[in-house]
Amino acid sequence: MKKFLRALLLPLAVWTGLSVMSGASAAQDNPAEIRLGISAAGVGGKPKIGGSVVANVHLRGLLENEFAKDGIKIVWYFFPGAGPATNEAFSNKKVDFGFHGDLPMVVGRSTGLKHKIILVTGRFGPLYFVVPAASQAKELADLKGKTISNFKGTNQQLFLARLLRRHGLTEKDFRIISQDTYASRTSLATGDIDGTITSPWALESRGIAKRLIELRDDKFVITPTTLWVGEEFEGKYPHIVQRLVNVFVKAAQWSSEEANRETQYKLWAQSGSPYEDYKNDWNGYDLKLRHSPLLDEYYVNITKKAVAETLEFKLIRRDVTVDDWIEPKYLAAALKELGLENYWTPLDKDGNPVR
Amino acid sequence: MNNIRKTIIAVAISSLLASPFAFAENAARSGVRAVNTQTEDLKRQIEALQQSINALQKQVETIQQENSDKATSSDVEGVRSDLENYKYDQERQYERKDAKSTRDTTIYGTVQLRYQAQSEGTRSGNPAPNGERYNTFDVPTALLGVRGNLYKDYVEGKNLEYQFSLSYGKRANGTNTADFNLQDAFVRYNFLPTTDGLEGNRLTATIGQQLLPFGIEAQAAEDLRPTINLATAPAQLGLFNRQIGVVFRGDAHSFVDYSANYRAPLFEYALGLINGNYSNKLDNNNGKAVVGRGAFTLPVDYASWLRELKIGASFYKGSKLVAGAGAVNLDSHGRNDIYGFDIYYNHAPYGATYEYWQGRSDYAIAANSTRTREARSTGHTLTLFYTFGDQFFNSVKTAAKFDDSWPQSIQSFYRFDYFDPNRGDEVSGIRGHGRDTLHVHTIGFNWFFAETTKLQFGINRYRYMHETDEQKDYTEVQTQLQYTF
Repeated sequence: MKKFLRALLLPLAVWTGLSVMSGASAAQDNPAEIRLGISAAGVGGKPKIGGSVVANVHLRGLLENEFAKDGIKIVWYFFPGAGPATNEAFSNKKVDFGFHGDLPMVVGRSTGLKHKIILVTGRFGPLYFVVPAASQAKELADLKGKTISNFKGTNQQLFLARLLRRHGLTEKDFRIISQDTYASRTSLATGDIDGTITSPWALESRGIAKRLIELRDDKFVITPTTLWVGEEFEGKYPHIVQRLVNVFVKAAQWSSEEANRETQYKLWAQSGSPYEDYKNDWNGYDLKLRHSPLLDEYYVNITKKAVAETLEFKLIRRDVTVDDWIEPKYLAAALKELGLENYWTPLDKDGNPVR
Repeated sequence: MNNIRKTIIAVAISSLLASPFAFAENAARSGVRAVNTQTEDLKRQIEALQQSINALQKQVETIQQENSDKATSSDVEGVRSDLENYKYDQERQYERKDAKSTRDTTIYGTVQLRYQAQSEGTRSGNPAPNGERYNTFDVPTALLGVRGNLYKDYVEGKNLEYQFSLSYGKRANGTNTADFNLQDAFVRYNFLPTTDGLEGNRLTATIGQQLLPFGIEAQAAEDLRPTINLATAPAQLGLFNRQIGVVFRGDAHSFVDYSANYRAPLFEYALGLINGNYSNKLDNNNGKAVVGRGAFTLPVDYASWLRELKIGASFYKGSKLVAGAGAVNLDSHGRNDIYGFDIYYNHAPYGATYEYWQGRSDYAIAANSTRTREARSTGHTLTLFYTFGDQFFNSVKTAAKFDDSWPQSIQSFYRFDYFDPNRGDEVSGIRGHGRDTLHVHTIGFNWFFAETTKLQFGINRYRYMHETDEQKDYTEVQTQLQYTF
């Protein structure tokens, strides 16, 4: 028995020792790299996105410029698996910062992911409910009992629920199936689904689909996107978090300037979505309003609403408190340092300008 | 007085003489003023005209600039011509150069290239006459297959799928030829919708030749097995052999964590009716084998340290033909049962699996005997993993990228493998390859250095309960390159 145990334990001890040794690492003042998990990817899996301050920071190489002098490497992960993939990566300590829509961020927080909200990376914008070109529907209610596609687990699920509620409907009035973006667009073409929330431009130009609903000024269906930092990283490197927030705020100011509108569209087109699509989606909007990084009353209110809706739709089992989740000090310091304290207008809880 | 008169006369005369000239001068002056005014007006008009011309010039330049960004009809014709050329080229390529199939098809394969050396000489694998060898190169697996769907249900996802694969097998007669043996040959139908999100239950029926739903390792396809050598017990008990029949697999009451789209089915089950005579053969008796499995996965969030903790139990209840001396059929319905229990835990970078097997099988007591006896075999395999790298994180693995980069990872492992072929008889009456009770310790790693390619390395220490001249403890070093496509 002794011989047997020795034979079993010796190789096991060697293996364990090797495994533990490799995990050890020394603490440093600066991280070797900053890893950002972005819950989106370009067309066909390109590692480039458009339509936000985050895209501008990436495409203009702003973080790389900021941290090059310290030898800190910037690692961007663009996840086609969207918000859930960012959560998966963060759970496994693969990213330090995350760019999220509300639903996956709330669900992640509810399951115990420890991060702090530090910045808003975009808000408002259009929402299109698209139906096959031959559809006879004139309004959402005409689709009762029919098949609607939705990418469950992403913030699109909340968009749909809010849109249906706005029209006095619920998910139970339809047959809801889960498809990713590409599958739903294919299904629109084949006529296997009767509607979905998606960008209509390419589909319309091919004569496949048409818009049934276009919301352009609704403040409570499409919700803001957020940048958060993992608590562990923040605890170790608060000075790095501050510098990163400074870069994002500066980029938000550049993005908010009307003079840079066209330049942004052209930058974003690198994602594979055409320039014209961005023009269609963004023309007519005040850039300052959409690129505002402020953690204002509107943001707090709508995030609390998102938590309540996520609970109501049984997508989470545990409540999430918002006030202790937001860490505004980095944004406040960045606005002060850059002299931008009065550049953006904060919104009240209903989305109206405060001054 | 005269002087005064003279002066008056002179003034009068000079006045008379000067008047016409003054009038003329005045007239000239007013004429000049008028001309000047007209000139100024003209100048102003010219300036205004110049400004208008400038504004118009600017407008023309702007319009020209705007138009320079827009396509002309010639440009459109050019693009159309290019498009037509492209379409023609595509059609021609498709007709002459592209492989086609009637249905959606994916070609896949697995190849293993191996070198191994051992401390004791061996002659196995070659017929006599042969010499003892201590090391050899080998190609243990070369598998080629196709899979796809025969019917795609876009609305409910009740798809009908197929899989067909062939694997090369060496001939034991010492020739240089090899066979391509049928491996998978099945169709699978999804009875329940697969488009209703992660919460939905699943139920499939797989008909044809397929892997058995027993335990953990026996269900894993060739490319997913973690170690170079298979666990001894399932190999000796025949659980890696594909069998022919129908197997229902499903799950129910899934726990879903939407934070990472993590799905943990509370109950998984499988139940199958098969020939029980292994692959590529008809049944050799009138008794069918029943195979089944149930597993329970802990319903916890993805972030929990207990995620992917699964406990399962399996059974295989079959009847075998027991042959005696001279190929005499001693029993057409001899016992051939296997019971199993397994634990699976995967919380990357850590992972562990444990499997237990117990086999009960009738055999002829001796080559010339007409009596049969039951052998009770037992096996355990414990495997512990630690991975350096991101191979097992879907998010990182599927992250968008331009190049062919892949998260390089090294999965280190330790395995303890034990098999006792017959608890009632330590040396004789051995089932399978006639091995004694065996302990195998393996330490090694899998180095994933490209998307579908890994280099495997392992050091195995084999220890028998009873060493003999023919059966000595030995150490083996193996390295294997495995690629799939």
